[in-house]
Parts: sequence; structure tokens; C-alpha cells
Amino acid sequence: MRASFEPLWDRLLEGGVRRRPARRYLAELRDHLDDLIAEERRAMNDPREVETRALCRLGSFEMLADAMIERREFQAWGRKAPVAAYLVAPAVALAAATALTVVGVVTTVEQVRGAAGPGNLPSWLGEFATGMMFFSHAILPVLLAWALSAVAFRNRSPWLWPTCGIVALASLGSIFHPVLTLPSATTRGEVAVSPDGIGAFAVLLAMAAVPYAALLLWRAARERHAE
Amino acid sequence: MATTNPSFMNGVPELLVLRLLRGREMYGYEIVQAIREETAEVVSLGEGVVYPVLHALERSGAISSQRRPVGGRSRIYYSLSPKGASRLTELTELWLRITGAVQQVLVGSGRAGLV
Repeated sequence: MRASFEPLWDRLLEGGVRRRPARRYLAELRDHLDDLIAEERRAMNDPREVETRALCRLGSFEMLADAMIERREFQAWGRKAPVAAYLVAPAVALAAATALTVVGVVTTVEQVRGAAGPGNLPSWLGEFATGMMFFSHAILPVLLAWALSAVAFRNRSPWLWPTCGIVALASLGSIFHPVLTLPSATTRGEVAVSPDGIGAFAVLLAMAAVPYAALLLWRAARERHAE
Repeated sequence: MATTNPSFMNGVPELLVLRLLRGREMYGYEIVQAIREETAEVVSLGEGVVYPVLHALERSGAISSQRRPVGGRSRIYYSLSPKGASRLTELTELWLRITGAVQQVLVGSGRAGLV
């Protein structure tokens, strides 16, 4: 019977160890266990006890997990600095992406206006600008929230800070709703921020949070089933 | 397996690993067996805990690793880097100073009648 390292894997991730070092650790432990089993067999120990003795020499899962968890260099950012990883970084990413989108749209409008002349803007430009603004305040926060959810779920992070991050993304998306007014022959174009109402915030929050909530419920159900 | 008081073990596995790798490259299982043999099993840990030590030393640049196929299996061999050699010198000096000082307290002065 080959020992299962699944409980150790779970414990490492729950302890905040990054997946890559955890995977390598387990691979080397498996190799080490194979060497110990071979050594025990050469020593002519009772074949029924060979694996038990080898596992005992390898160390308890608790000891093996603690040896890795206590080393900060192997901790995921979500464990070392959860506020930065799950709250600040996604908010900064959303702000930067929104700013880039607005700058990109304004630059495009300026280019098209320069080529077509004032007052002769093509009709597609308005749809393009509206679509990009919608993307930056409604789609981008949801995509970032889903990415955050995936990372938090894969790393077995406690739910608190990822949830705060998702709420922050939905709030920022609904507050900083950029609205672009295209220039006409007589007026200059402008970019303004027009916060959405509570209804739009609720929709955004639901879209952003539902996958994470579903994943957490699924894991809880699986753990209950395993017990 | 003998167990060792962990509070006395801080830094010891690092020192032993660096010292053993000074002579030649080794893989994890070899390192653990060498520690057991060369310390006459006085220093004896759960064998798997050597890997976090090795990975941390590698991450700090003190050792490097190379995966190599051996006998139909793939093993990760570790070797000492120049940075690791300097670290070994530092740690050895520190260790000798500390153990010398402790030794002096335990058996040297006899001032407090500790032994």
C-alpha cells in the first residue's frame, strides 16, 4: 500500500505554503519514503511493518507540515500579507486598468478626431467609447474578483480578506464609473465620474461574489462528506 | 528514532547540511543518513524535515540543485555554492564560539557550581 500524502498537501496549503514549493516538498518526501522502504526491506524487516516503519522514520505529517509552514520564505503572499494581496493589489490593479482604458479611449478619440476633423466623428466611435467605459467599470471588477477568488480558493486562504477584496472591487467599480462625452463641432469632449446607485452595486457585487461563495460552499460540503 | 530537543537545534541542521555538502554533492536521503552516521545518531530528526532546510538554503543561494536520472529514477542532487562555503565558514566560527562559551560555563569556571 502506498501512503497518501493528501492530508499533508492540504495541511501545507492551509498553512499558507505556496503550491510550487509544497509540490516539490511532497515529491522529495515520496522519493525519500521509497528509499526508506527499500532500506527496511534490505534489513529484512517484517514486510507488513516495512511501510509503517519507513513512515515513522520520515516523520509525522504534523512535524513535516510545521517544518515547512514555519519558514516564511515559502509562504504565499495571501498568507504573509493578506491585506496587500487580497485588498490593496486588486484595487490598485482595477484603478490602473481603468485609467489605462480611459487614456486609451481618449487617445483613440483624439486620433480619429484629428483624421476626420471636428464635428465629423464616425458613429462607431460613440459605441466604442461607451463599450470600453462599461468594460472598465462593470466587466473588469468582476474579472478581477473571479481571478482573486480562484487564487484564494486554490491557496486555501481564509475567506475574510478575499471577501473584503471582492466587496472593494464591486464598490470601486460602481463608484468610479467613468463617463466619456465625445467632442462635437462646438464643444470639447470630457471624462467624468458618475457613481452608480445601490442597485447597480448590488448586481456587480453578486456577479463578483457568487463564484467564490459557490466554491467555498462546495469545499465545505466535500469536507463534510469526507468526514 | 531518537528525538532531539528542538530548542537546541536552531541552525544545527543548516550547519550540518552545509558541512556535508562541502565534500561532495548529495541527495536528501544520503544527507540524512550521513547526519545520522556521522553524529552517531545523537542528532536525529524526522528525516523529511531536512527538505525545508535544503529548499531554504537553495533559495538563499547557499546550495544549488540538479535533477538527475539514477537507476530509472530521478533524484535531486544538492551541491554547495561559493556563497554557501562562506556561510559555512561564518556558521562554523559562530558555533565554535557559542559551544566554547557554553562549555566554559558548564565545566570551566566552576563559579556557580553548575555541574
